[in-house]
Amino acid sequence: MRRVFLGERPDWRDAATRNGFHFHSLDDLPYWQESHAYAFSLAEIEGDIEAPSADLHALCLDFVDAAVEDARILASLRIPEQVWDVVRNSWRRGDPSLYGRLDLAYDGAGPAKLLEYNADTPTALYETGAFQWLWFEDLLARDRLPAGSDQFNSVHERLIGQFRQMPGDGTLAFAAFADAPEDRGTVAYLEDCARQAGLDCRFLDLADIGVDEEARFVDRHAVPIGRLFKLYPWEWAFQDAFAAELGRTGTRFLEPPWKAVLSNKGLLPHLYAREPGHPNLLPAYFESDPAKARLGESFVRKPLLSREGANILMVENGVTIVQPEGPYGTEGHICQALAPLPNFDGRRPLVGSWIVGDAPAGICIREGAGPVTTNTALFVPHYIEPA
Amino acid sequence: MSSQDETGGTDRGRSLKRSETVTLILLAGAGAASVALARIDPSQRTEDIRIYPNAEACSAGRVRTADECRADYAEALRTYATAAPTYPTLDLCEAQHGIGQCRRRDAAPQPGGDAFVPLMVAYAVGLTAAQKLEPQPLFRNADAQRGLGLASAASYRTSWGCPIAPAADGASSAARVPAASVRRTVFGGFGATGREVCGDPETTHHGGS
Repeated sequence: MRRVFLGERPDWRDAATRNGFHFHSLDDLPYWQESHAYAFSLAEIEGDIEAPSADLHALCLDFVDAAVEDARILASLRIPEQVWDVVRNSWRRGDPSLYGRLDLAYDGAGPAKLLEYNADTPTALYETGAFQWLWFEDLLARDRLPAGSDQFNSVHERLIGQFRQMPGDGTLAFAAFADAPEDRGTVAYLEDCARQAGLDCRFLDLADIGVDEEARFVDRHAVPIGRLFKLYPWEWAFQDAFAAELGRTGTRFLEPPWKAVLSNKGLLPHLYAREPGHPNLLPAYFESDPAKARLGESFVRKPLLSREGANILMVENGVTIVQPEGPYGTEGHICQALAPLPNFDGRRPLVGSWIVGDAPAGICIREGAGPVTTNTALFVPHYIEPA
Repeated sequence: MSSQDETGGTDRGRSLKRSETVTLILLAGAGAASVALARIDPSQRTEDIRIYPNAEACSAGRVRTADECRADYAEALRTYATAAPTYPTLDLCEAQHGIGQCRRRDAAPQPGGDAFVPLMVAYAVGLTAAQKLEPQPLFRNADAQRGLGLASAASYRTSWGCPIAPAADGASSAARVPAASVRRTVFGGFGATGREVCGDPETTHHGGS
């Protein structure tokens, strides 16, 4: 794993515009950063990232199978009791999932360590599946990458394939905060893929979802929604007024409600307790567990439900190096052993490993300046060097 | 657009770790611009809309005939009677729509006493009939009135809270206005927690992560 200077294409913004990548900069600061890229060997990709990701996801599915039948686990994850049946039934029914992103600390040497699983509402999907791919093919065509280079990225094909496997009634509605450009872009990309899979799609602002007299979720035309992709986390939906309708509705969701079990930092102590010797799992404990003392003086404290790196406390050798800041934490915390992100030229890459359906599909790298990856991190593309 | 034609044809005989092709049908080209605005929904064929304070202004705009303008305005008024957002107190209403922009609702058909609704200050129609947009009542957006200077500081809101920022000539290039057929259906039951958690409802919320 190397950080390689390639120089940005002078016309990359035109390519972004042509391909619908309109959130490549936020507040005039670049988010897409192609002056550098990360180069991996095929062995690193397949042995250190792809295979462990498949294994971690399988462990997660085993955990969901146990969790939905265990009130103590559901309570430990702070999933409201009123929706336990919603979560449970979605799993028992076998409601399919579309995608998720495992966030890994990986430096090219030791085993990748799971920091968390964004199993419910991950973004950076379009950048990974489409624009990173277009970047790669463009550089290859311009002879700016060695012939025989590759990229770990079948996200686009796999998303279309996954949509083809869930025909349902032939329709799929998408919902997000329409006024959040990154969210809107992510959902538009998924809609693009779903259309290519032959589904009849429509987009709704979250506020445009209604419930009719027969307890069906409907759009503004009063047309029932058979299936809804929502870029809106379950832990928020469970607190909303419509949570009361979830138990009665026939509408199916992507991600399904059982993903709430995984998109929760409480997953981490449970996984560690089940597989304490796993090379890709960091020791982790609920904050209320006295065993957390085993972490010693270097650990990370995370709220069960924080997002985008908010409210994280990081302590290294007894010294606080990151103070919590943000709106989360009242739901409780977990403590996890510290696995510092590697340092490449002063930059800290975080590997996001995509799961589409139930198999690894590619990676994205988001690069920050600090020890915690936040929503100010930059997206940096990657490639696989020829053997 | 499709990129497989011009690139990547050299080493396709063996198993690769990447997609063979990436084709974008919605995001490429014209559709991309509408998604960029974050408020137009390409799947509903919404294009630009027109915003008028009343039927006379509509007639003067010469996009519609005077008869069409009167009919549209009347329909927006009818929708207003049933679809205007209601607030339990005047303060809450004015917080959303601005001082002096609210009034007591005509009747209180639901239990619970008084309710307040924003004044209908304008209405929106589609540029063409093909858009199939029902005329929509519009309300003042309090953030715009306070002059917060946000890039997204929209002047108006629809009855379901969708912000609309019209261009100077009255044509909105940043509005997504699906037709609202308001029956006994309740809207707005999703999203409140996200807006609350993330603070400023106009700028910072994301559902993604």
